[in-house]
Amino acid sequence: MKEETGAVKRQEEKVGITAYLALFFALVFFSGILGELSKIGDGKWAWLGAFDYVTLCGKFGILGELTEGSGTLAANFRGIGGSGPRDAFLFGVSLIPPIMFALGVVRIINNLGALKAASKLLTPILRFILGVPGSSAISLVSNFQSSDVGATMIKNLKEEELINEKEQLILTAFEYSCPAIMVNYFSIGAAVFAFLEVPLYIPMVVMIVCKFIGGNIMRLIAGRLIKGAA
Amino acid sequence: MTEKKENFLNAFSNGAYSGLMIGIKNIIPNLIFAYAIMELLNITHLMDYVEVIFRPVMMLFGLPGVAAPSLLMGFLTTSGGLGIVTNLATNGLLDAKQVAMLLVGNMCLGASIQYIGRVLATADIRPKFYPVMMVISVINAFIGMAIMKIIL
Repeated sequence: MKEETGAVKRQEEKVGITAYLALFFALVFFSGILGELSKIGDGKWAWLGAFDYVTLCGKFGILGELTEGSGTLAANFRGIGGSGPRDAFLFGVSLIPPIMFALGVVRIINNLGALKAASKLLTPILRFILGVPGSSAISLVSNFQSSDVGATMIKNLKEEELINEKEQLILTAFEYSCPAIMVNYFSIGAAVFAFLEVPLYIPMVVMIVCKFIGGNIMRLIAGRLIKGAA
Repeated sequence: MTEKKENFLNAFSNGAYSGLMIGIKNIIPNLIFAYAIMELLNITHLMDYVEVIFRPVMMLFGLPGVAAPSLLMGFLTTSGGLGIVTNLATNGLLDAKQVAMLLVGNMCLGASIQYIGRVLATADIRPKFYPVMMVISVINAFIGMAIMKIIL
């Protein structure tokens, strides 16, 4: 007997090789791995930087050059020693170009089906790592891109009775912490990138691990919570 | 069901445009708010009291007491919280490791208030579970900062 519902239909959409390649490219491009590799040796691997997000972002031009001992020049238009809203504004402006670049690339990658590929890869292990059925994979993975879409899918999954209340709580706990991580990390998180000395993928991986930890905390207590609330 | 497929360039433009809008509507206003608060705290020397009050908890993570406002602000607005981090880092009060820790902490519990509507209500869970969700986010933030402290 066929029991195809909206969520399950989405799951079974064919995911081609392009989607997996797009996903792989996204992971490599944004991770910072190639940026690190391009620095080793004496310039032999510098070309790898062309496929690294941070390297490709470039930099603002310097304000000029001073002869030694004649003072200090600011690194860019933001100047030196700014403070308050004025400084905040120019800082915010300086963040915009890399954010636009990142989100443009993310959109292309998603249009190529990278998210669908990711959800196909997650489906078999979801029951083990989070205690939710494989049909939730697309919601989980959509949450990486958009808080609203991921949450709407949770509601749909519950309405279609593909998940029960416990699984609904687990998924929500997963999605509520660091929602839209792919977008927010490269836009809002970008504010601190200039101060980091680790490749970009490290904080992001830790945040994703925390999302799973949060989901599993809920997995442990959901039963009791639901009984207590009944 | 027909899907309007964007071509490569349109996709990039639309994505880049959404980045510009996030910058203008979210990041810049919240940075301005955060930096204004920091000016206020510094000019009034209230920051000294903040540092003393929060030093015990922050010390557990190897963070200075002045880092606490970033997490408190982050609960309201992630951009604001991270704005405080950049302000502190620019003034030499945070090193690269501490910035990385606060990045994870801020993003885990970030904008929890805002996302009540966009995630919790949209996912249609019972409102009596909202506080537990927020507590889990905060726990995530502390676990994340602890993991960063260990691996960096």
